[in-house]
Amino acid sequence: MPELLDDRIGVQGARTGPDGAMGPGIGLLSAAVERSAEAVLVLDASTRVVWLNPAAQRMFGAGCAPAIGATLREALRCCAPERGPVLDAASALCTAVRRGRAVDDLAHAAFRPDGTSYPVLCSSRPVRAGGRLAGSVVTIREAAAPDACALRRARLVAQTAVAVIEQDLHGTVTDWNEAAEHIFGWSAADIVGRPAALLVPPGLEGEYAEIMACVRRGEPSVPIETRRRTRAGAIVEIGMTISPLRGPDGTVAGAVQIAADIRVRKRAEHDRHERRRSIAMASDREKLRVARELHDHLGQDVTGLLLGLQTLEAGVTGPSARQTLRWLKALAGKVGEQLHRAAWELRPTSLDDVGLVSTLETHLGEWSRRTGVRADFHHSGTQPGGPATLSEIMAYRVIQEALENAGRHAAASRVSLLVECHPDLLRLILEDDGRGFDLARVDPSVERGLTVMRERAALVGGRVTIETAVGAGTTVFVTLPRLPDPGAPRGRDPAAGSDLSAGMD
Amino acid sequence: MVTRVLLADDHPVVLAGIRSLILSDPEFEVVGEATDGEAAVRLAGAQHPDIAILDVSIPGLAGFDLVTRMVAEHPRMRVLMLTVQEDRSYVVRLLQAGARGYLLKRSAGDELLRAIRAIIGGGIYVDPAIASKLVGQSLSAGSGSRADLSERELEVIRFVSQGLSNKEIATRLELSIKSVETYRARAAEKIGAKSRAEIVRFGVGQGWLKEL
Repeated sequence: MPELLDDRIGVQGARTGPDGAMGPGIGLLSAAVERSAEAVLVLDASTRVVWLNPAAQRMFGAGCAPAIGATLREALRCCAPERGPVLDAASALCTAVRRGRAVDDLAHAAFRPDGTSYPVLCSSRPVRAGGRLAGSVVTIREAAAPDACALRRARLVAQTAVAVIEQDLHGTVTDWNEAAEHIFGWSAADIVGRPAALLVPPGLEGEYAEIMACVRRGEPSVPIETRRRTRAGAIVEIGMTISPLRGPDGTVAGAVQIAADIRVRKRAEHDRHERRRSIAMASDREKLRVARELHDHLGQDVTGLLLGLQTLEAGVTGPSARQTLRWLKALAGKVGEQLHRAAWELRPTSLDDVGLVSTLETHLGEWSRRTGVRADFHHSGTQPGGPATLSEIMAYRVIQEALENAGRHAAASRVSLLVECHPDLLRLILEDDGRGFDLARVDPSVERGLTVMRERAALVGGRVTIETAVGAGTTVFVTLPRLPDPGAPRGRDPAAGSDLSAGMD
Repeated sequence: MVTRVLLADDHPVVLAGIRSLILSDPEFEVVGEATDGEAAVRLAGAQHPDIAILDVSIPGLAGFDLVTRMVAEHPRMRVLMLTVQEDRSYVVRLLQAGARGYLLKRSAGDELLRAIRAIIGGGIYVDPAIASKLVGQSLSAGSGSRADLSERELEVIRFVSQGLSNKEIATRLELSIKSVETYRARAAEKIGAKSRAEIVRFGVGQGWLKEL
């Protein structure tokens, strides 16, 4: 064996013995290597095993004895044929050896004669001769048995219900636990070594790239809710974070992705939202029914009453009878007006009969008359027709609340209401020139109003944003998607035919 | 000469009320009563009334379509619409369709005969309750000129008219929100706009807003 060292590759250490030349020290060295508890393999430049010590023979002998001349990869595969991530470490070792790079303590596994495996750590040093790579010396030592705490942690990662995915800086998956397999359908063996981006569904590449850029800078991502693609192509909703993993020197060496399946929670959320929507629809239908009852039936009877009283007038001559008649007429008139106001406040039937734009304009006019604040209205786009959708109803309700707020708190001299009816969304802007407020310190009663507005908008997936500052007035921006809803068909006055924009402004 | 009146309303109480009121004045005569739109059209063809008093929302052919048809088939007949609907847009559209009057049912007791006389006399009658409801709309915006605006003011006011918030404008133009507020206030003053709606109307005049 020592001849082999000298003749075939020439170990540098052997040449620099204590006396500076090859001498008796070489015998001592070879004996030490022979007896070492660490496995030592000497490889040539093509990574084939040219020599190995008895410890290496023991270590590898349990699997299948690698003949001299096998490649390192074959030897290692033989050593741990099943373990995906470990093999990945092995290929890192092979790559280092092939390229003549030094590596230390790469984790691998070896087998005892009884077939059980134990962890080992592999290191390699290149051997150069005349400036070129002549081969390598690979040493493999038994890793210290992990302590109970580390084992427990490893078990935790392996068995937790959240997916734990380790990846390197190129985004290649390097470790993958069982929960990840359960959620995404890929087994560790199939995905380790492949890009983690395989999980990113079309359209979310940008989000993923942004997170990874952030992680490479060493910042953990904020927890986000997003979607991922399973091996079968299905989309799962997950909550996840990606955090940087630092090497021993503190530089970012990879990333760990923690992901939890949130489909059940999302479904529950969706169900709750649907329930709120259907309650809102039912409540609106009921209000509409009562409003129609007041407006169309009781209101008509009052009309009949008024007409009858008017008819009487010609025949009534006595001054006291005339006075009573006038009083009755005034009373019936007041009842009619109150009926109309009550019905309107309950639910303007004109939302269905004429449309959102006209209803808002009328409401704004009423509000302006009541508060004495000048109101300015502008709309664009075609007024929605037909039975009001929940989006239209909520648009009206949000503006109604916003106007109430403005009337109570703003002390404005002027408000503007702008309504844009886009094909797929409604956009409303209510601006006042009043005293405004500090969004960081909102009066509780204003806060309640804002919450009501936000909840109403959220019911149809819309949003409300407020722009205000003390002394700078308040602007409420409302954006609501125009969703068709499964509401029961409701009656509609044909006077509100097709296009109303001709009559406006 | 007696004025011949056609009535159409699906509420029997209202119909009876109108009939008795009209008949209380010997100037008028009721020549037909209908409870749906088609019947009203048929009666108009048979009776040639001087005026038809139509409920806006009777069953069948109604509202806008009913007015259009009545006016087309009987150009000499006047149409007075009776309604519970207090929306301005109703009035505008019905008048455009050819109706000559628009009366709220709750005013009908006092106003019906006056409305009929006004219309027969060649006038147009709009319920005073509706007329007073019109939102005070200033159409003066746009009187100012953009020539006075600086480049920045022009950009800011354009974005305001397009519905952006000050914060959004600040982001787009890389300005502070305070600066946006200042540019906006100056620009609004130069174009003579007193409210956001007037700024929007100015924007419409400038062609800044795409048609929806």
